[in-house]
Amino acid sequence: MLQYTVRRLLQLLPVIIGVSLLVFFAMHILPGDVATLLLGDRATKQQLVQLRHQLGLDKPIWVQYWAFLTSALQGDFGVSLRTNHPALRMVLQAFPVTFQLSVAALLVALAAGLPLGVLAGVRPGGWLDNAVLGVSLIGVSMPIFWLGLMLILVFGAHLNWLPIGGVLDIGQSVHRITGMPVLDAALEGRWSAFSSAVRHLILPAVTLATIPLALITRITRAEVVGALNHDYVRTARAKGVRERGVVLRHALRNGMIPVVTVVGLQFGLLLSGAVLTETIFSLPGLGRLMVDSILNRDYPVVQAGAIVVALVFVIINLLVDISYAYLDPRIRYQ
Amino acid sequence: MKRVLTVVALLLALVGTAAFAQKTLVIAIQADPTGFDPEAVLNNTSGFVMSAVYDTLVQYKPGTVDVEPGLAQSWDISSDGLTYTFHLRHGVTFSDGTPFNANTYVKSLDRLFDKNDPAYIYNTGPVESYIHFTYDAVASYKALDAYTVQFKLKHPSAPFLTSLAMVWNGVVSPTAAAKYGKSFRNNPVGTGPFVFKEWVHNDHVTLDANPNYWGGKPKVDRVIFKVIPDAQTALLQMKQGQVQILADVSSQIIPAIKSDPNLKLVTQPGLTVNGIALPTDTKPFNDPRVRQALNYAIDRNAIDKSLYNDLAVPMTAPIPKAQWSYDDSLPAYTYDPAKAKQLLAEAGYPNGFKAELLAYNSARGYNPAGAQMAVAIQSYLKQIGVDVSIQQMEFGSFLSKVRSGDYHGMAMTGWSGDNGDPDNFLYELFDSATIPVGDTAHYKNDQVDNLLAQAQKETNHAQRVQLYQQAQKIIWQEAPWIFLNNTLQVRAARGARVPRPTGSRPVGRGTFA
Repeated sequence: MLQYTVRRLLQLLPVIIGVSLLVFFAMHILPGDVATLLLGDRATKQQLVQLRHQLGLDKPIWVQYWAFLTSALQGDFGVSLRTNHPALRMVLQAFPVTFQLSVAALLVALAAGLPLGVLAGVRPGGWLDNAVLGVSLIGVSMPIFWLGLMLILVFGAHLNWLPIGGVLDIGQSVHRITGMPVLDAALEGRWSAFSSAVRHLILPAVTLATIPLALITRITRAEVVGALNHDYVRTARAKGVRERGVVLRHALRNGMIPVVTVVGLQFGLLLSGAVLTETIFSLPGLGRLMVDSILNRDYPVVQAGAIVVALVFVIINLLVDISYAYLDPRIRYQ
Repeated sequence: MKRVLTVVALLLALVGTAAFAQKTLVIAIQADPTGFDPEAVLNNTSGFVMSAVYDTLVQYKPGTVDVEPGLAQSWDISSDGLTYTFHLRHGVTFSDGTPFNANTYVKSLDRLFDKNDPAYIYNTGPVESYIHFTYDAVASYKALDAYTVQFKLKHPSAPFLTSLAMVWNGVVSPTAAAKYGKSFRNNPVGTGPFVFKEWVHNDHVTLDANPNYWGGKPKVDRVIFKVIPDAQTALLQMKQGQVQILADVSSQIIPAIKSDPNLKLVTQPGLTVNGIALPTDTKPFNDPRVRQALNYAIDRNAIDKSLYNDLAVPMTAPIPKAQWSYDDSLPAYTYDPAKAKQLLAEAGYPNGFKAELLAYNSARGYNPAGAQMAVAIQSYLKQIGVDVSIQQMEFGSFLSKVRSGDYHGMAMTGWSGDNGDPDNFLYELFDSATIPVGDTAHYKNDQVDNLLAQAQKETNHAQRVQLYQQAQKIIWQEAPWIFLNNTLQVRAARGARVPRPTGSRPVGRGTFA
């Protein structure tokens, strides 16, 4: 197992290099450069040339890439062309917000999806099954943008139960330890900040959870239906195991592998930028940062962001693969 | 770049409303600022924050482009226009304790021009600035005594004084600039009504009131600029009272604001022009009759009413009404499709022609309606037989294409005035020297070029007005653009009733943040 893990971790390096190459050249193919965007409507040719030279954009593209690669391998991703802040620091500041949101969304999706899937699976064709299938279809089809706004309108504006946006109440702040407001408030021991952070997380997490929820529900249902048809289930029932035990301990556990796979994939997708949710709920996360940086041709930030996301994706995939070995004893890695 | 409807002016607007008991003012902005060094950062969001932290030597009288004393309480200009002597205000300190006087002011300029200055601005990172724009005419500057500064110019430059009033010439503390070096743009220190406290990226900027402000203590203790990227969300938060001012007002929420008695729109005549640049060097646009025909084909009033929520007025000259030297005698391009068709026929296109129109897809300060404007123009032109196909692009790509010089179709265009000088409009947009970056219509008229060159050097105000009016007449007649409208600068604010305390807790349990 250890050997396997190490081998997989070594694969990180070619993945990172590949990603950085792709992103680098994609960004440079895009028309429009950061100097034009920074100077905007007012820009003399002379100013454009001067700014481009300052930013090192007038060197040949291979030279630029090599300079980037050598410093990136030392941990220096350069500075944002727009704000002059270190690119990696900007990414690492935005990432925990998205991470917190993604974890919360997946927890919601699992907490609702697993039970619903099981309930639907034990009585396929029943009214609950049809209801669940219908709801999950709606969940997958509904535009996140619209759902987010509707939730804000109902729970935020009309009922006034939950906040409209942001990570904390306006004017409130927490000492930055991990960058995740909920965790930082808890670590600081400040109850008001903690409850504020949690309340600000509820609506965006629910909004973002709809698609993973739909997928998890369906897959769990399918797995439960499939598992309940197997012989070992008949045996368990014959042995006198109570129905609940049959379903949960036998059928569900064997069906977890596809669920774990979906969760892993969804997590990666959510992390790489829940842009729409972050925009509607004014969350300073990685999705918004990436989109803004691309539109502003802020190459260093896009690079740093893409690589961080690729890294996280690879690690999550690795964790998912390792978990298979625990879920299914038949699986062994060399 | 537009002039900034400053925070102070907005505060005055709010103070006018009864019972303004708020201690913290929350202003919603749509994008994160990028830095707070006025000579290095040029975008409007950052400028808005900076207008609360810095003062300038002179400032614009609210709602106008005339200047009044700021950090300089008076000034003298020599009769040859080459020497400017500023008498500085006494008793002003920067918020880090550095005294404001001629010495420190001169030091704050040194960082812009002296390569050996420890705080030399070009060593601090990318610099987008109006340094050349403001100071190119300056030959030298020095402190004459403790409170007097003198500038000597290479040649008379009338826009110099008005340029000094731009927020981009805010006076920074030279001590702080030297102390923070590269990160001065994250730690601004000025003499303004508010002092920088913190900046959480993509989330908010907090400023505290400056109790020793020379203009009087601000009426609020704290200002928070909150980044809210979605217009609807911002509106909801303003309705709830968590936000008192919307700095960026998107067209889509204007009807909702208008219909809510608790909210009001605060407007100021903009120094903006908005229209379509026509490629004057390409057939059929090289014929002025064709260009005039296109101008007669548009119903500006209808567009202003529906697309711009009545927050724009039709252009009646190449420069806005609020800009001095504006010529109000120019014959308007009325909505006259019959005349348009006639002109086209005279030019040899009785059946119209096909053309391409390049559009950017985001809202701009001078054009809050974004690409919808192109669609409106397209439908009007179709009525006179001109078949326009629209190509929409994201702003960065749009700029790059239009400015390449190789693009020969129609393109959306516009401009926000920087310093209230007509040169800032006419030279930038219609002088052949700025093709293709500023003069996107590739318009070249030697007479206009000469008039503008003369006016730049002329010191006599009345003479300048004359020259600019002559230039305007020619440009208006030749119609290198479809001249569309001037948009108002709009912010939204809570008015009428007492705003609720910040935070989303119900009023009963609420406290001031």
